[in-house]
Amino acid sequence: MKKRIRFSAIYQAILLALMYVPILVVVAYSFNESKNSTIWGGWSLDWYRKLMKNRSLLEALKNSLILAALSSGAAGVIGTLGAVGMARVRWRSKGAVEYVSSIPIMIPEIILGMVFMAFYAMLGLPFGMVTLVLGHTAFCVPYVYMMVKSSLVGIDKSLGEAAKDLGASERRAFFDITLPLIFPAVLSGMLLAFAMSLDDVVISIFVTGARTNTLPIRIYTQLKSGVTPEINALCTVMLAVTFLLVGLSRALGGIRRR
Amino acid sequence: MAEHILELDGIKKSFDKTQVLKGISLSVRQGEFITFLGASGCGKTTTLRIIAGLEAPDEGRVFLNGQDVTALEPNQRNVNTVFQNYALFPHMNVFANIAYGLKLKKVPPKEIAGKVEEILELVQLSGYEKRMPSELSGGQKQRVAIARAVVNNPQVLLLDEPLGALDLQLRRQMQVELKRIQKRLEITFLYITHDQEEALNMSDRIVVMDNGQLEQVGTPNEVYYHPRTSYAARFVGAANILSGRFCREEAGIAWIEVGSCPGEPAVLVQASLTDAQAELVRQGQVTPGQQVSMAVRSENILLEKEPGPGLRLLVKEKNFAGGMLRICLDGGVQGELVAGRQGIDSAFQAGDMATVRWEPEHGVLVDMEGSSKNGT
Amino acid sequence: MGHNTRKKRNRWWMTVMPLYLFTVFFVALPMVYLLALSFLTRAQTWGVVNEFTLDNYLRIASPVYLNTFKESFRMAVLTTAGTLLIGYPFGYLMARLPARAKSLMMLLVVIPFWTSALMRMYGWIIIFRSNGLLDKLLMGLGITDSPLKLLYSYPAVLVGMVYSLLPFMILSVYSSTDKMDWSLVEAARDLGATKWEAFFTVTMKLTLPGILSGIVLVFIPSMGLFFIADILGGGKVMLVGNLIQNQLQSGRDWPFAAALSVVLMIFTSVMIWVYRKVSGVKDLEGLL
Repeated sequence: MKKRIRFSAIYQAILLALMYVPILVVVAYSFNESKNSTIWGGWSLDWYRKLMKNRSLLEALKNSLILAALSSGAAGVIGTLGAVGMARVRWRSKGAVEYVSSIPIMIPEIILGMVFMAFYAMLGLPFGMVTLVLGHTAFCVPYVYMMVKSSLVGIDKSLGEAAKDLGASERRAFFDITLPLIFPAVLSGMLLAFAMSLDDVVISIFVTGARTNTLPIRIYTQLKSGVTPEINALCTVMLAVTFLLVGLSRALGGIRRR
Repeated sequence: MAEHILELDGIKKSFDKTQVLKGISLSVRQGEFITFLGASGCGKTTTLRIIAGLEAPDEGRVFLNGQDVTALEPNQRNVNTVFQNYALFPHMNVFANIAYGLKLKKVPPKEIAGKVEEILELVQLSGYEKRMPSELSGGQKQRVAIARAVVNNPQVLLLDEPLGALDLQLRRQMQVELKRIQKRLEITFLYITHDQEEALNMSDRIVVMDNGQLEQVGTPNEVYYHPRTSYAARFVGAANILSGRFCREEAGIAWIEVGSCPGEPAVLVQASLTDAQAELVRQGQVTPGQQVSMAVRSENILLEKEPGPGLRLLVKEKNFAGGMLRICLDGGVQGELVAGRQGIDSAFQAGDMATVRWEPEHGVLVDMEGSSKNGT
Repeated sequence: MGHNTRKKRNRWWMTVMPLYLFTVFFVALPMVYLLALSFLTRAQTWGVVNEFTLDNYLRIASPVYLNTFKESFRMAVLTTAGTLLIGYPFGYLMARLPARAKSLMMLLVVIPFWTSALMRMYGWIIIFRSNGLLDKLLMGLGITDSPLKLLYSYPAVLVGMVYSLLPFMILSVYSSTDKMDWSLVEAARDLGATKWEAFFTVTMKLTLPGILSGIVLVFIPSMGLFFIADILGGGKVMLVGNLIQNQLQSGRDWPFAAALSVVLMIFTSVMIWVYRKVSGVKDLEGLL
């Protein structure tokens, strides 16, 4: 029995190590003195300094953050209102709309990119931030919607009734009781959406304009042509941001569960 | 003030074509402790939700203090509810929970603080203001739920199986306390339970409900000793029901011919009649030979070894249930009869024959048309 | 009859309107348009002519493109098999850990999942490139004596695919193993099954929903992850995703790209449909 435990522990350790190696490699090389990533030239923060001066990369970062904020914000409103309302209306179209709204996270991203690109071109929308936000909102909504929906299921129906029984109007009961209770789910859904938007390459490539770069697009093009270690530094920064978001989302989830 | 604080007039309600309330009419006096007693699914919770305004009746009206409130939203009725699962707001502390209703009524904060303090004292939870519901025990949650409702000084307090989730000991303790709170505040309590002991202990009046109808409305004494229907008799105190033919009436006592086994001679047993029932007999509504049912409580069944007047039955088995020794008798066509005894009775063993009888006042005629199913 | 039923002033319909409108106009309508587009004719130079044609679909049937589909399918099957082989034991063992270790392990699995996919691909480039980390390691150990030239090869793409999609498989298997009633395995053992017999007859069957949802969650994206093939394959590996992207951005043949997408979408829908039929589950296990 002991032997078995040791074997499985080794297996898990190796697999975990393999999962982290590529990430750690990128982080490690961001501190590499040498420009050539095949040679280790000692520790340095040079690439972070260079990154701070690289206007186009910073511009891309700014775009990515704006895009993620706008689309997760829009998804937060649409998804939350939608999930709350869907729990209360009894329309026949409900199931169909719910299903269609979740398609963006079910099908391969490339199809979604294609679909949006063709459609926006047909509408004659100017490719750039507008189309990016529309496209990203489409795949952010399901994350918020699903999170809020599952947290609504966990809320005792009698809480709303108790509020009304104590003299609250339907609207008041919603703002006093339901909203505070689903708020952690709303936030954690929005954070998830934010992270997904920040990370997205495929849809962005299709729906962006010639002059609007997001960070993943920049990284992608550089990976195809030639990489400067600034990218390592940038990836490391992004990693830190992601950790922060995941941590926040987890902490909120923890509150929700309590 | 109107004569009745609460009146229900012909309430009917269906869910998905199943009628759960078949015309409920009832009047409740100010300050009464009235209990709806019935098995789950009998419609008692729906009745309560209609009074609270959480459901709208299909037909019928609800009057509160003489005013028709049928069309009013729950927040427009001066009625409060203690929910079965407490329904305490998990994101608010005890103080905020109790203050919620007062805040909505725009009571000044100072006054709210005073009232909350007062009510917490009443439910013996002083000093718990800052606690969150998740930090309270079941019994404490229960008290907060009661405090949150009564602090609004409702005309009627509705309690939906409030003690259902508590263990037996705590339940007994809370029964006493609820009664004390009710006496002290002089609020009308409308209490729902499926536990006959609770109903008998606390109520001024009991409403026995079955299948969306009122079976009997009466004081605990009336419901226990003079059940009007076989359902009420069986549900409250698990009485034996016998059916037979009505023979004659003598000085308020009915003689009924019951059989035990086919082919064996029938035996005459006695049951007392209420005045209303005696009136029916006198009017000729009940005639000799007519099928009637009677109830007799197991603890009132007397057993004798020697043959004599009464049913001669076989002792099938003996078992303990609910603190009582149950002696089960094979009643033939009557099914099984049960005699209850306190403590251990070794006079009868399985396989013995016993003569079964009871005092006439312990037998009750039930299911007589016209004497049941109308409220007070 | 109903003379006193309350007219509920139900205004909740207003809250679902944003979702309805957005879903109809920016999800459903674009997809319908894509379907329409796939039946239109490509204009001589740029754009689309409104002329009905089945050419786009017929072209897919030509050997060149059929081959790409075959290639994609092979890649997807290999990727799925790889994640299942590596991920199943991991997900299974994870579910058997004590509670605290379990949640730590969960976090450890989820973190790479949250990390930028590009960053992780970049890490693999550093490892795989000639004279990169792997070459140095192997040569240093004396296993090989010249660079392997692993980058821009089929295996590199496969590794990238398996690596990216592994967490989906692990989490799916984990969530169904975690829910499993272990007393059933014990019962099987009690009835005389050996450890392995119990595993194959009971555990495998009970974790099947997790395996199935893992397969769907891995298979579907692996058909479309063109950028992994792009970055790690260096244009040598051509998947349907790459084909669509090429048609759109270099070839500018939108109707054909639309037809390719429709075919891929039908394929995906069939998979999800089959999954639902087989497992009887509506939502994918461990999706969120």
